[in-house]
Amino acid sequence: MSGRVLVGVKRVIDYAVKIRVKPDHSGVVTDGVKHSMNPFCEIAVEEAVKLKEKKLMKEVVVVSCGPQQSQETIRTALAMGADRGIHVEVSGKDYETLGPLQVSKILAALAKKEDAQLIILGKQAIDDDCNQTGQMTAALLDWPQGTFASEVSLEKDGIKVVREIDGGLETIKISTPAVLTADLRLNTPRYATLPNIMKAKKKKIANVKPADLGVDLTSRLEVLRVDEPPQRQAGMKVETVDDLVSKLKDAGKV
Amino acid sequence: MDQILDLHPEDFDVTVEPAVTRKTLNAYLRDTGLWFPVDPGADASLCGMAATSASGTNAVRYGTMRENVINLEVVLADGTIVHTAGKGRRPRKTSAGYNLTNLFVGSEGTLGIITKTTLRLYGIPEATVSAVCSFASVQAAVDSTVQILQAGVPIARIEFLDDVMMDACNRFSSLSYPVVPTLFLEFHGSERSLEEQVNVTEEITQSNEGSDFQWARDAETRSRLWRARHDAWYAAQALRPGCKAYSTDVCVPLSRLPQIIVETKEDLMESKLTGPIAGHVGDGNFHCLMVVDPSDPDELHRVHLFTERLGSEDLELGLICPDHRPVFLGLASVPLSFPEMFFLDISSLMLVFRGLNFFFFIFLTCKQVFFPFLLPSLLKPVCAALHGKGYLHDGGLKFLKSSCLSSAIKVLLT
Repeated sequence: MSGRVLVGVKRVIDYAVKIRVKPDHSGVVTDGVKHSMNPFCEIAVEEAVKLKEKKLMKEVVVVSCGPQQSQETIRTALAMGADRGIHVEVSGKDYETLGPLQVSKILAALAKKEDAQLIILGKQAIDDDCNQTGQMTAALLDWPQGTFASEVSLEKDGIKVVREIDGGLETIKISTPAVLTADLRLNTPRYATLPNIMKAKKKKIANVKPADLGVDLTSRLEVLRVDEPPQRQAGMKVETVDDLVSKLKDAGKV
Repeated sequence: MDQILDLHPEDFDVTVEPAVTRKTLNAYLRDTGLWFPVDPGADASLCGMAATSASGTNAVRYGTMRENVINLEVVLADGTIVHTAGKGRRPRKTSAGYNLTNLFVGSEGTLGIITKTTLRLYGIPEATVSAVCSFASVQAAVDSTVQILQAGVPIARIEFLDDVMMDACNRFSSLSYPVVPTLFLEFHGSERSLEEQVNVTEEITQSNEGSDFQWARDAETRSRLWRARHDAWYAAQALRPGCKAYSTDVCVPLSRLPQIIVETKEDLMESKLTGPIAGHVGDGNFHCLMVVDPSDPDELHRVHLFTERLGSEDLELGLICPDHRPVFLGLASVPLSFPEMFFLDISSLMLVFRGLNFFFFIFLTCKQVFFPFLLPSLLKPVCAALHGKGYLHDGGLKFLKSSCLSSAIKVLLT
């Protein structure tokens, strides 16, 4: 089975950064804060590159929707082994309201345009934790979906996906073309090495506008307010087990 | 003070504040293709690693902190802020001025507190291969190490675990390595250079009757293969539950390594001590992890004598006793290292001491700390060393030992 893999990557605030809420509670502080590729997107890129190395797929195309800086994220994916990139330019107000529905419309349009056999995405982004883009993309394209994939194997008559679900692991077989979303244990992403970063500078990143794809970016959601999670309350020390039990009973926990 | 400041990827340097740890820095750098390779095992603070001149498993190829600190911002005892290579400077090399940076690296806080470190970075290796090879004897394993280095293989990690340690690791991590002296190897490079490195190394180990290599390429298998080495400290402690572990740290020229390891093992057996050996043999450095029962005074005494013998044997073989883990040996390392420094060249050392005004600041401002605690442990071996070398006659020795400490200092330094 040969073909094109489309991988979606998102530029998010780096996982190691301490998040601060803006004073006007309209969002989080993003200026001057370190951004990098969403960790689940890294796993998705790694899986796509592995498929290409095993000669099961011919080309890996990386897509990112966002402002100019998203190109850095695409470059990182190219340094990991992707062949070319597509940067869908979305900036300003549109970028602030960009959500899974708009992104999945863009990905669906691109999948048709690029004639992709497989779309691999991260299961969710660490900034919004939506876990919706993969599922919505599959629905728009009417393709089967293998979400929360912890193991993927391409076979003659389809793709075998082992999914991580609440009860354990579920193995399904889906036909191609399909949408997969990567879970944590799918693989360990490789580091971008200096020689590969140098090579990636020469790879092409195409520039596309959402209007060119016929996608309407209006959002039906409005963010009203963003607050920090409640501060952790101080604990209490008790002397004996009986004390503990009575305190728990008073609090109505037992 | 937990910021990573001033990253310059094209210049391969970065400046960090004291709360930044090694793993935090490497996670931050992952998109740039760079990393900081000095790996003492724990996820240590980088400025702390500079203060203790940390070394670790990658030292054989990438060097220790001494080779990888470009500049430091240090606060001295009187509050003066010093930039050891100049404020904001980060030259890859320099011939100008005194090497103040390396004076502070390893000073363990005795000369000042490090508040910023500028570090040298390296490119992340394109590919990594790990291997494990067992040998019939310590001699064969260490001989292989010496030959691998002489063959010019740019090996990234070469670690030695003796049979006692392998047994401990098997038990602790439920592994099934053969219980014999073993070498853990790691190679970094491009795909093609790795093939060459591995072939040369395999030829050498096989000529020393080493077992076939157990291989690993991908990250998951490599970490499984190296688990034995990573868990060594805990495995050693688990050998005798309820006992404490005491780490020794010895570094000798490579050619003397087989001799000292074999002698150390014999000494351990004669003294009836539990001391599994693990070491960065690529640098001629090994740790004998003493596992002792803290409630047995006789055993503690035997351990103390053993480590003194180890230290002095080491000095006889002609080299330093490094210590980047002051947590365990702490000031105890000072008595062992100062005689060595004094053997070298007392007059030039005195000159350095005189020239460093702030050192006197320490003397003068921290008298309460310096005199009662550091100085006695310093003076005893210093006197012995000076006496042994004929610099002090008996009368002078008595005078030093008995009289007021501050006049003793005056005598020594004038």
